[in-house]
Amino acid sequence: MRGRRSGTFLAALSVVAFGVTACSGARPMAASPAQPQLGIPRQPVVARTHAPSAATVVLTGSSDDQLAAGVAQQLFLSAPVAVVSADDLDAVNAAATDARRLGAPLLLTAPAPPGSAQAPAPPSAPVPAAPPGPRPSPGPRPSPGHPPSAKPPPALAPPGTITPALRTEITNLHPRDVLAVGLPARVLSARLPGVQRRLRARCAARDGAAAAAQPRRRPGSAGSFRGHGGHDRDRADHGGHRGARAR
Amino acid sequence: MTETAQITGATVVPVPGDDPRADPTAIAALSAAKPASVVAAGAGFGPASVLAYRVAVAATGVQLPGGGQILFPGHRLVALYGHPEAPALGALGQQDLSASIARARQMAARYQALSSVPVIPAFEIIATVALGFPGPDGTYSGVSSVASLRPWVERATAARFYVVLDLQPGRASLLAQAKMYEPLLAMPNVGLALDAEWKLQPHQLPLQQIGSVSIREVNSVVRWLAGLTAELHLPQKLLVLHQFRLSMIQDEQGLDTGDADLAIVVHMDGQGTQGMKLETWNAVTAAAPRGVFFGWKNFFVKDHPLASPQNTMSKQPQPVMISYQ
Repeated sequence: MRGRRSGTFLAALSVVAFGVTACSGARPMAASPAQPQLGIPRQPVVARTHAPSAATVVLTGSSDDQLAAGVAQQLFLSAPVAVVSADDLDAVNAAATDARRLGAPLLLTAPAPPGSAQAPAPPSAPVPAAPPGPRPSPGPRPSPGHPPSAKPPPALAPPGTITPALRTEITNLHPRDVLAVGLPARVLSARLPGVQRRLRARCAARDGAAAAAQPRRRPGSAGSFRGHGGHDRDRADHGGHRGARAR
Repeated sequence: MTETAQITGATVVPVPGDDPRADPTAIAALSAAKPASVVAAGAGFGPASVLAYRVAVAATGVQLPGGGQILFPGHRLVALYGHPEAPALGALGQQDLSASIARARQMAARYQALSSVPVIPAFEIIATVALGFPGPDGTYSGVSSVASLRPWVERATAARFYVVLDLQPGRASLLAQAKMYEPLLAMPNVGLALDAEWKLQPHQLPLQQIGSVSIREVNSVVRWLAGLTAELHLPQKLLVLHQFRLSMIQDEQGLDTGDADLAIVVHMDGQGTQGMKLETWNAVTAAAPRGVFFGWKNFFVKDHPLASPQNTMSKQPQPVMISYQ
């Protein structure tokens, strides 16, 4: 949560109340407006919401990532796409835009552990374009059995920590796709048990958000992990866009 | 977080603080939304039951003069004190209703530049007046009817005033007298004041001693008034305890200040030189229980000299209610 730990912003987040007016039961939601692009079938992407667990719920999480997970848990039954943002103000802003476009819950990583090295990532820096068409990632890949608690080398530490609570909430949402913003897709993928990690390069011409909103893919195709202002090194390795598919 | 909520169709209401009743914008939003359920992000909102009640109050949309549903410290009251038909009892009754409204507004305006929060003009109306004789019911307290006070209360309400009904009970029960004014106290901008100076014990006669009240009797009024406020989902209601001697409120530390539906003001009524008044102020504020606010009264005739608004506002703790008698 670098850049978001200032008192003003933290105070603002800690006092946001959500008055829910439309959650009387599960209801379908509209698909992303970006969906019709690129020949993607006009099949609606449906997230299912539900009423909170009680008429009045007070989320008592002590950090933004806990509160974000709590809000998603209270209001979403499932979502075909979940957006996970790095612990960084600009990444969160970008992720919020994506979440709105996709009709997807926005989840946050926890602050990175003290002392972990983090490469500075200019949040407004454009994501480098990858050549069209599938392209294998040249970088090291985490193995499918990579334990969630394993930590990457300090130089590759992500700008945020994927907590067990975050993993649980992602799993509970049953997303087909997870859009990662400001995170190295490889690291996120490695820490998501229950997500089938099948990384591959994504066509840069395809909008990552639109791809993430794709309702159903051919067997063997991938959902998207989208690098969005993450590590320079990661972008260099992976070309900015990554795909993985949630089971 | 807000995006996640908005995507589900929820109305997102930012609350600057832990209580939606304190923020006019949040009140308006909740009133418009009339939420069937609420998810609040932040432990500061307190237990769900507390928040549920506060949201229900906010959803009424009713706001105090000056906005919001919490009185202090977000507002300051400047009141004319007296009885509409008795000029000798204070500044309120020294002119007709329209002129009283204008006079209270002028007094309040003198404080606005000195106050960081909105200054609300107010009437403190002596609803039951101490008598020098037993009166029809033998209580040494003359009761003004609700009907006789209603025009003043309603005109003041229309003028965006706060109104306080003051009880000088004589031998009557403060709780019994308070209940007589329930129709007026049910209004969101009407509070209550207890004038212990005029509380007589069964064997006492008026003007032979300074009256006093037990904390038990005060707390009975506290509980009833808080209950009325909660039952009607009203904004926080004012309860004023007039005091210029510590002995006037017995066992004062036992005052029930735990109900957030009430804002309790200990109102220093001392008169005389400014040095004497300050001494009384210091004693009253030092002895008061935690959780109360403080008020100050200026007497047009009996203070020597009359404190200026600057002087009045220089008191610490800064008074949230200033009355002129």
